[in-house]
Amino acid sequence: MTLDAVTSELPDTLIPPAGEVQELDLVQKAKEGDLLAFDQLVRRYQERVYSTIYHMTSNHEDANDLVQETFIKAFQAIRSFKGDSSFFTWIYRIAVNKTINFLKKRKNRNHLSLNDLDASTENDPDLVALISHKTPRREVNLAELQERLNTAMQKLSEVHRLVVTLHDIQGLPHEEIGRIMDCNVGTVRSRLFYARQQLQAYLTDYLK
Amino acid sequence: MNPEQDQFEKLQKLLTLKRGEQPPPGYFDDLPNRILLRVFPIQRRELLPWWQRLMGVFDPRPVVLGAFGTAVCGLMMIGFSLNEWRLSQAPAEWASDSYLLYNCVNPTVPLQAGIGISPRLRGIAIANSSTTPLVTEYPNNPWLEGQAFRAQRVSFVIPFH
Repeated sequence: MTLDAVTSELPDTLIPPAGEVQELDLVQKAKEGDLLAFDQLVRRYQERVYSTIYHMTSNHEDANDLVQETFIKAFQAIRSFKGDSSFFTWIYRIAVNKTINFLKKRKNRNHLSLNDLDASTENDPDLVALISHKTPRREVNLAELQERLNTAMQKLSEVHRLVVTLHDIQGLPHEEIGRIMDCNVGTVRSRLFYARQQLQAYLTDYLK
Repeated sequence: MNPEQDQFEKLQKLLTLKRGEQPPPGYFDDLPNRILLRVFPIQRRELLPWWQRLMGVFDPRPVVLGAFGTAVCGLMMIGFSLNEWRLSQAPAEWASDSYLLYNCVNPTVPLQAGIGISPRLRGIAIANSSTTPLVTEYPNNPWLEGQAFRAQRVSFVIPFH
């Protein structure tokens, strides 16, 4: 009996989506030492992992080091990945743990090294409206605002910064954040509420 | 609109600014290659036998290897020193045993009558005449198997009182 024949007899709920099948296949190959399969996994998740780490550290060089270490750690530990969660959640957990450990060590060395804003953001009408009424010198103000925003983010504790990053910047649902942070949805919601209040207080000049 | 809700919406708009922060162009094209360059030696190392992996730990760290060697030498010297000290502190009985056994292989050293023979060895000495060796082998000692004690005939009788 062929694989297609077997899967055609299974109820739809038991059949994982095509992307997930491909991911499981890639993970299995990577477990067997297939570097090309691992390369595919890196290419699939690098942007999201980098983005999370970057928004946590506000430093491109640190994010670059940590994202590499995250994937190296993932390669070394991939045989222990049992598939209890999605690969995406698993690799996020590695990235988050590495970043939080790094931030604890770095505690007293907060050097911002911010990435440039892309053109679409600079021309975002909502953002333009938000900034232009503050000052006519928009370019200067945009860079200043970016730095102010990142400084405010750095004032949050690691867990509060993480929920803001994962929810408000990356758009992950509360449930997924709960799985990544190994806590329940209620905790995620309360941390998010507290973190937003803190940010509003730090950025009050821009929110009037 | 309630002012809290308004502030919250403005905050969300501000946070969209963070989404626009992008790494230098071409960064994500290059990153997988950099990761693979670091993963490749790890994979090669995992395929090596355990002893080569152990040696590999010291390869890039000559200082660690030197420290490890120094530590081993230091421990050996401490061991020798402790042993010397222990012998010097040992009761006279031990020294007499050594003397007796030494006398078995070096019969030229005169054994003084009744002096220096520990009570522990007296029975053995009595059971053996001057023409039979006192000790000829080490029973039940696999480390010294095949290396029988060199026994020589002695030309005197051990006197006992």
